[in-house]
Amino acid sequence: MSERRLSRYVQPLLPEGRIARQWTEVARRSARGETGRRSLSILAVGGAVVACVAAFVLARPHPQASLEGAILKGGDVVLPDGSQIAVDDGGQVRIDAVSGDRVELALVAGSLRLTVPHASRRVVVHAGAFDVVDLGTRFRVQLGASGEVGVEVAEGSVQVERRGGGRPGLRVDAGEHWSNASPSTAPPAAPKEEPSAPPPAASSPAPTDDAVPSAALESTAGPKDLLESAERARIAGNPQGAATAFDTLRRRYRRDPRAALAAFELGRLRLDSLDDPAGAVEALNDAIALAPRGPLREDAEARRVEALAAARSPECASARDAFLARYPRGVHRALVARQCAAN
Amino acid sequence: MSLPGRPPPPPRPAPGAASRSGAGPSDAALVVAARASEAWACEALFRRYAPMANGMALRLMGRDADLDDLVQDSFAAALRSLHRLENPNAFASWFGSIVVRTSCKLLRRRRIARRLGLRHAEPIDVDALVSREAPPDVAAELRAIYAVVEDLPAKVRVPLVLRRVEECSLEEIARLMGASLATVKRRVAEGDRLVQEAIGRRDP
Repeated sequence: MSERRLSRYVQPLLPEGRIARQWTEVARRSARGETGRRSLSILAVGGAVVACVAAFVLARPHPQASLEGAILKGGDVVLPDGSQIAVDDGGQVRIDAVSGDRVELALVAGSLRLTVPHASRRVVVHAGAFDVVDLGTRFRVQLGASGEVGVEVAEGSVQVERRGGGRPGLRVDAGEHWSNASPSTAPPAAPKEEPSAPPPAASSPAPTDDAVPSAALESTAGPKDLLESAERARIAGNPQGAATAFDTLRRRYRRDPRAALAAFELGRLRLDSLDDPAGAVEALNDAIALAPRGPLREDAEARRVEALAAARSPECASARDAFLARYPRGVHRALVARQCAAN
Repeated sequence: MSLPGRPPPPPRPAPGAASRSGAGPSDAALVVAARASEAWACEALFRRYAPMANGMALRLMGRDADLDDLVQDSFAAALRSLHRLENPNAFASWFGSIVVRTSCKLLRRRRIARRLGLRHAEPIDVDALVSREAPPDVAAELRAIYAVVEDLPAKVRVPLVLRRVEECSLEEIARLMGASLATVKRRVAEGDRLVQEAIGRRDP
């Protein structure tokens, strides 16, 4: 009998369009169960503004055209095609164009959230020097006082384009955050408190020019780009390049769920490949702080004990004992128990 | 014992324990975020497991036309009951059991509808189902299986396909179906007997 696995020969055709349709249906069903909760939230946030805008829209024979030039200050607006614009408190949005095939909004200040149904019109948000082009999604755009722009995508994806820049746009997918703020720049005001930023990486070796392709680290690189850069650098035998990409990710995208993973990987690289145990301790502390209840916590704590031992830190023994008390049956128990003998 | 991530990084043994590239969030991280109603995490989980769910559903149902509803039903059910998943790292096998049980329900409904005359029997188009690249002995075995499964009750059909096509262990099948090991052995044996009879009729 030939070498085989029968299931290999009974496979469905799964083009991206089919998976996207399946997901859209699943999301629709899930959303149906949350309709009541969402409606209450929308009512609470922008009831007065909605009422005013709705009255304004309904009173006009051509509601789409009448919206152009309107300034929205807080609250929610639902366009005739079902697109939902929610302007956060303190935010200002100008409706530049609403027509049969496009919606253009200009974010003047603060932040807005958009929910755009699939098969809707082209929706563009002008924010600072960037255009955020909707590709059928739910996303949030924020504009800081210094012109820094941040984009968070909850569902689907958007394209971020620099106006007049001539460069190809950057695609930001569901779960990703993008900002043009430099890592040292304070992030734009966010509705939720972000984990505090790690200290400057003074203990890490300075990245070399060829550590990782500079394009991957430019301000338009999203978390996915940075992870891919790190992976490429690691495969190429360039741990410093991988560490730089992980470091950039965790500093630039603190609220991204992959930030904790990046911090953990950075700690591992500093400890195992870069002979930088003190830097590893800092990165592993950050991984724990970024996801205190995350699935990597036990692993990060175990590696932290190992890093403290390598750094000959006086904290090693107490960290080891704390680990053993916290994870008495943990998978790393035996290895952690052997640490700190020389400290 | 070594700590995770020591070089050289070993391939992750559990399917779906991390993203396919190994760089994305783990299943556990996605499950935790999805429980917190993070839509991106729900979508990421769906996209990670859509190929597995579609493939398993096709092999259990025998026709492509059934996939969309079955996969959507299964994932919607998974999202609804995600809070009941005790070990977020076990999402893959837990979701697999939901696909299997959803398939069983659909097969049972259809069988009843046929008995009541509300639905016509639709033979499985084995030529459309089995890849043309399948070696002759594999194609013959798949043909024999799918020639009989349409007439089998779900309780025999599903364990037979899981055993012979998915090549699951008996223990895995018992877990996926929520049945005892003895029951699974009996049903697989019954299915095997019917397949052998079909082969005997075809190649006397």
